[in-house]
Amino acid sequence: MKQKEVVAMLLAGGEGKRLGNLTTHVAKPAVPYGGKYRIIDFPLSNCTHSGIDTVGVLTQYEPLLLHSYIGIGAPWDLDRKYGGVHLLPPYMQKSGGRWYKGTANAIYENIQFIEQYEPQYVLILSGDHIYQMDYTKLLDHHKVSGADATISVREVPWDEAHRFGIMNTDHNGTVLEFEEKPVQPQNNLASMGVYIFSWPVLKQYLVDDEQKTGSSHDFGKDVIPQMLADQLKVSSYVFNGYWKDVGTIESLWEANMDLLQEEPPFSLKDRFWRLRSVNHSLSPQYIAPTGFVKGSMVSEGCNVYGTVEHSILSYGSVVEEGATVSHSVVMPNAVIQKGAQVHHAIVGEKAIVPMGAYIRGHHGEVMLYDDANPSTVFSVSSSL
Amino acid sequence: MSAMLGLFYLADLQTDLGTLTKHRCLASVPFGGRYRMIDFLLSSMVHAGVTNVGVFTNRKHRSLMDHLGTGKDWELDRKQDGLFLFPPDPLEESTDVSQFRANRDFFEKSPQAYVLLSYGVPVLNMNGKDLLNEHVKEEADVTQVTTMDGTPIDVFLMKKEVFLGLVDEAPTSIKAVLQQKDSNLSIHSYEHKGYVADLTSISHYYKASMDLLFPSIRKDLLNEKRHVYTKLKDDPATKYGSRAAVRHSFIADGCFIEGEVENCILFRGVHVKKGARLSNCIILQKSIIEEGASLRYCIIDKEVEVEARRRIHGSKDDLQMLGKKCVKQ
Repeated sequence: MKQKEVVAMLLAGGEGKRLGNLTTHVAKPAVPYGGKYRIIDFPLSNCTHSGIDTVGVLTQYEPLLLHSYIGIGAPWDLDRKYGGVHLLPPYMQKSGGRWYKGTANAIYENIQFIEQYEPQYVLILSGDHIYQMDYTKLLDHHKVSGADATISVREVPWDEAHRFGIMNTDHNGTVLEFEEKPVQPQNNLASMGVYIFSWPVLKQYLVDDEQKTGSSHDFGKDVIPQMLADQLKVSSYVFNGYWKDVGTIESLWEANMDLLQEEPPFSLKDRFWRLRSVNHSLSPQYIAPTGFVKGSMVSEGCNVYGTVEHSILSYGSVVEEGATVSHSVVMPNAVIQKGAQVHHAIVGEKAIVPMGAYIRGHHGEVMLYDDANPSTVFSVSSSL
Repeated sequence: MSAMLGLFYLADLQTDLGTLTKHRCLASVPFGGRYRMIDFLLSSMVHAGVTNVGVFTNRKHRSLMDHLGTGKDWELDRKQDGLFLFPPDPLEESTDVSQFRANRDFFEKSPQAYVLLSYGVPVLNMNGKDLLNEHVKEEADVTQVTTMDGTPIDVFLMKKEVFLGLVDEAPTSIKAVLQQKDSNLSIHSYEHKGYVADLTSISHYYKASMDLLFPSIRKDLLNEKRHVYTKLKDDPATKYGSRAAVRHSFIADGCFIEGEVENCILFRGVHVKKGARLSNCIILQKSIIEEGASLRYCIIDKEVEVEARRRIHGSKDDLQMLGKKCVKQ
């Protein structure tokens, strides 16, 4: 069998605890975005466009939708004879079955998968972020620097640095220290959770880490700090493009609103870096005589009889007559019934906002509405 | 195993839809914001369990072949059966008999017991299972599909043996035999009880397109239970600018609307710039309507650029058409 230069391992097992009911039955990477996408479309499309055709997707939490969405990877040209996308949930072995204990442990449990391809490098990605990146640039940097591991980093505002894993580097970009959420940050380069390793080195560290009692088996907390402690060469690669972690309701909402800017921060339809996804073949959207849409994005299959302002209406949704949606994100197949008012909110997939309901969040506190939480229908945020 | 072999014989289609059929065959004429004419009956066939389809094309078939590809988007990309395209054999006469005879092997090898033969690309959403059940029940040689008021649609269902009999013995045209009232074949009429678009001229095409703005027609034609399949593209959701004003329109994905649009059908990727005003128009894929342009009762083909502040005002009886890729100054 041919050897692959790079195998990508995409961590998609996260629960997204801070996304409320959006992730009650759905893993975070399968959360809808931008009217017709799901978060995982970003790393998958990045892989395709970067020429990486072998991607292991590690799932664990509520994987049903994620598995059926990814399938054999055809939408991202990842249905290949040799390589392609592979779904890797935890599994039973002769020695018993184990759930993945941490990001590094998930890779450890799949060493066999990676070994099939005898890769020189392994790229670790997460399914939690919105960004468009050419991984070959990261790989080139890794090769040129002669490092054993390269961490992709991005500058964050200094007053936010304490929320991230910060790299302290020298003037060459070599990482000297990795501080997780430092109280007094010495640098403002945050880890993006994108790492590239020389495989033999990574393999050894995964095996060693697995033996350590007390380890949380996490890249950021255990494996990388150990590599630094052992004086391995760890380099940093600075990424300057748009990058958004959509781990909270507020940040998911903001990432959606960013698409509505006059000049959006990135392109969904760049001819050479098109965001690929599962397409639904629904009918074109219908804007009724009573419908009114401004400053928004509306997807196929939608029916608009009411008002949609500065919002994202995902595929198959309905805004009935007299209803208003503003500064909000309506997830797929939701219905905003007659006269309902939705402002500064996220309406969950397939949720039905009842007639005349009033849902209002405000900047800094986006309201999440879903059918499981009808009590929010008549509540008015106290700090209006 | 599915019972019917789907067959399209498209070489006889004469319909002239002006600039829309200048460079493409009728089957690939765009319709309804994101579809092509062939998508409707083809999808009905697939929903009736058809897994094997032959399409006999005519000239100007490049865009049709590009549209259909391997048939994947209609679930026809299969190991067994599938979608088979038959460009016309130039050494044979261009009659259905000759073209079918030259490809008799294909019909022989198809395991299906019935043949659903269409001489056109009717725009309807048909219950093929119902049609088959009625054909079997009535025990006629051939069942022809008609509209509710009895107008025949050139779609015929028959047993494969009957079909092969016609291929072997019809003098010059199988279609002529099927349309003859006094042929040896017993012909039963199956009434399709739903909407059928009349597409016999460009003004009929225009009216049928605008019919989609009626909910009852949309519900019929774009029936969720028998979904119309079409070629899939990775387009983002349509974006509306801060000065967009859109009313009563049917709009595909990937558009960017900054101007005013009323009573229009917009296909994929259309860009309506600021100050542009469109009413009662059909704008095909990726066309650009520049700032301040004003269009009424127009049919604009693919990839056309209408220059800034240009006025093209047609009327219901005087539709204005712009051909593919033209730049209108």
